[in-house]
Amino acid sequence: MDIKLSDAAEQYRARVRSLLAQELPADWRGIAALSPEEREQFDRTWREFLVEQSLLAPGWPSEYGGGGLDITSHSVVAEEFARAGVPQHVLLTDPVGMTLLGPTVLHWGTEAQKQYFIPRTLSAEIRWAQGYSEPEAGSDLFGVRTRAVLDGDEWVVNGSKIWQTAGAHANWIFALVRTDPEAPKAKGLSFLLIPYDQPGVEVRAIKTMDGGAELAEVFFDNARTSADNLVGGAGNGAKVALTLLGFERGSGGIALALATKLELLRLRDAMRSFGVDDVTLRRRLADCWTSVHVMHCLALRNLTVAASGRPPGPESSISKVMMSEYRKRVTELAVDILGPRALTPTGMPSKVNLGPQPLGVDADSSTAWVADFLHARPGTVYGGSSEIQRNTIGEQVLGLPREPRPVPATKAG
Amino acid sequence: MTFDFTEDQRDFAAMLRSFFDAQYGPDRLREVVDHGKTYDPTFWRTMVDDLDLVGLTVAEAHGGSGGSTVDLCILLEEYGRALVTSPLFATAGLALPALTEAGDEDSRSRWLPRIASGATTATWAVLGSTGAPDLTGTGVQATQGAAGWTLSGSRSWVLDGATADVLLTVAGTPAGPGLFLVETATADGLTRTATDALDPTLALAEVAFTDTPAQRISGDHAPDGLRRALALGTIALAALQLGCLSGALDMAVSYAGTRVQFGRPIGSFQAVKHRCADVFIDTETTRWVVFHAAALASDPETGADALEEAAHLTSAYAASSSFRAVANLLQVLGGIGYTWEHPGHLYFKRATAAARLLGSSTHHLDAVSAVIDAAPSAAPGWGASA
Repeated sequence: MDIKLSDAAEQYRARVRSLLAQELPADWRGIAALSPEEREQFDRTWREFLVEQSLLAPGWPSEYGGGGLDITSHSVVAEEFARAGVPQHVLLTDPVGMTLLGPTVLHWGTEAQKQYFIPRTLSAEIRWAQGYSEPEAGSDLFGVRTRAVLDGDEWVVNGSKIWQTAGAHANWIFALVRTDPEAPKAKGLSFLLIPYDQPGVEVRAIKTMDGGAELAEVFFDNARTSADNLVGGAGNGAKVALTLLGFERGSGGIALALATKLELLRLRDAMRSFGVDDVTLRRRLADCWTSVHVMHCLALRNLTVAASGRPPGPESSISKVMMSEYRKRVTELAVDILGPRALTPTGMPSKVNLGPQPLGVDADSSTAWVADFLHARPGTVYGGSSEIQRNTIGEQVLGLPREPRPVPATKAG
Repeated sequence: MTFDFTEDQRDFAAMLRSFFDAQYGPDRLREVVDHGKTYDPTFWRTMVDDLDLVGLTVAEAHGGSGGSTVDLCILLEEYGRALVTSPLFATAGLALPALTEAGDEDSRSRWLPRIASGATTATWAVLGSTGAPDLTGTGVQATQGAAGWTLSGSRSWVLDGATADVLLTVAGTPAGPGLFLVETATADGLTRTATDALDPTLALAEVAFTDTPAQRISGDHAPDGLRRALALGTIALAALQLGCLSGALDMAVSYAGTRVQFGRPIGSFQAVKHRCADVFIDTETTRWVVFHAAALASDPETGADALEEAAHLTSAYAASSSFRAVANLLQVLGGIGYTWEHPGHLYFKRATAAARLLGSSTHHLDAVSAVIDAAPSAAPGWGASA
């Protein structure tokens, strides 16, 4: 039972720290403290720096432009970036490319697919959107209806996908599509890469309850993509999609727990700034701090499992439920601390929609706290709702019987 | 980093599981619950002689097995799961840390071998009159006379207080608090009254001292040592709570998988399945929090502040997670869970009692608040060392 990182990992941490100290200005206060103009400039040079240092995708093999790091070192990079308030992912589409699509192509793709897509994903020539959910297939993921039919050496795609994060910024999508309508539900699916720049693809922004429009919906009307762009083999889409969900697990957990702790310190500073000193609110803050500790312990455990190379266990469902439910709880606490200030949000805007704000956001910005409060709501819905996670735990871990499913009147299709 | 159990530790846990299953089954549990038995000396001897459980963490030089806090937590998880009534927790979970961390050399040489051999049972009367742990000696005063030290005052909610051979408590002296030891068989002016307890598997007592002869045993490092000892006791208690979670999980899942209503097992209904999943989440998260704290405790480099912080966090979480789990258990069990016959209520009572034995969850949360207050503001730390 050893909870300390190895000497080698700690030496690597020291290297990352000195690299950051060299690269960042002396008065650095965190990415969120930059003005929009400064931010634009910073993002450009920072992303170039990450690519040069092979730190944009620290865990990918170095022959494809990744950092070739083991998962523990990757975790150290993520942790030190969170501590320094610099982004691991720069473009809004980078998280999708670096944590979802890249690892999938590296695992399932042909050599030609790797050679084509990986460098272009790193250079941001290709910016990815995720195409899983459909208007009629949310939790029932394998009920997707978007069809792809082979026509010569191209797939012809019809249907639609919804809830793409940063979808308006993407120019390619990886989609779970039905290639065999005769096969049973999950067996007729394939994992297909489709370019946006063609007449058969239309992307529409979805305005969300925070007033923003970061999510998108995409429509395929006889859209086309090369037959070479199917990943993992026809009919294998469900398997590819499920392994994708397990990729990169473990590497970001400790960093996320740290970012969550820094957020709580900002919330404490907000309490001080507002002169709020109420024992109930203080205990709720302490309870949140306790939850952050729980998530840190869980992250250490996940890192151990991931580093051992064992297949993903139930820990990913536990972490998902814990973190998403926690984000609701902590942001509800934040608006309770704001009190009437939540009615008229003022101050610095929020910088990210998923997870805690990076360093540099003013503690007394009610605008940022209210935005976090709204952004926390869908966390227990997307990426497998809390209910789906509990079904997974109940059925796959605890062995409880499945809920009887209605027998379809006709075969799928 | 390998945040996992070793093969030996897994074997130890499996051995304990089958030992308690075989030796401490429903009949024995019923004896205690139905007839108010405190503990069975024969079973105690089995635990001590056959398995050396009480001396697990005592140094080999003192006749123990030299095990770590991690080993102790593995033991207490299984022991807690089996709802065993015996002096093991008070002796190994409370008194041993106090003796080891805060006792002087003489007292350790004298008492550790006796405790490790099972000949002497012990407890630490920790709580003050408010129900919070008392390390300042409020409530019990120590006076030094010609014949040595005597204690006056009282302690409530003392685990195994009516049966322990040796009783430790912190008492106030003019020079500050110190750790004192009372030999209960021979001490004059000692009144020990067993009290009815919410949890029938935990024996509690009121202890009153009237000029009771005692030995002052705190060594030079006592102030920090007592903080460390209380932290270790708190982590041990959390392992006992983890056992409660583990037992509640198996009981809930097994019932949900076999109880049939509307023609199918109730565990197939999402409303019930999700409660079971929540018990699983609470059990797994508590496990890694407890063993994280145990790993810290097993590392000699961990300072008293860090250990104390870990103990408060672990206790605050284990109190809420274990109560959530037992509440879910009773709901899954339905009507049968409200009966005396079914053992479900024993987990419910254990979780409730354990959350008060070393301070309430608000006590621990307020300590966490103090940690938050003292933390430096969030600022980029790439120049800092931690």
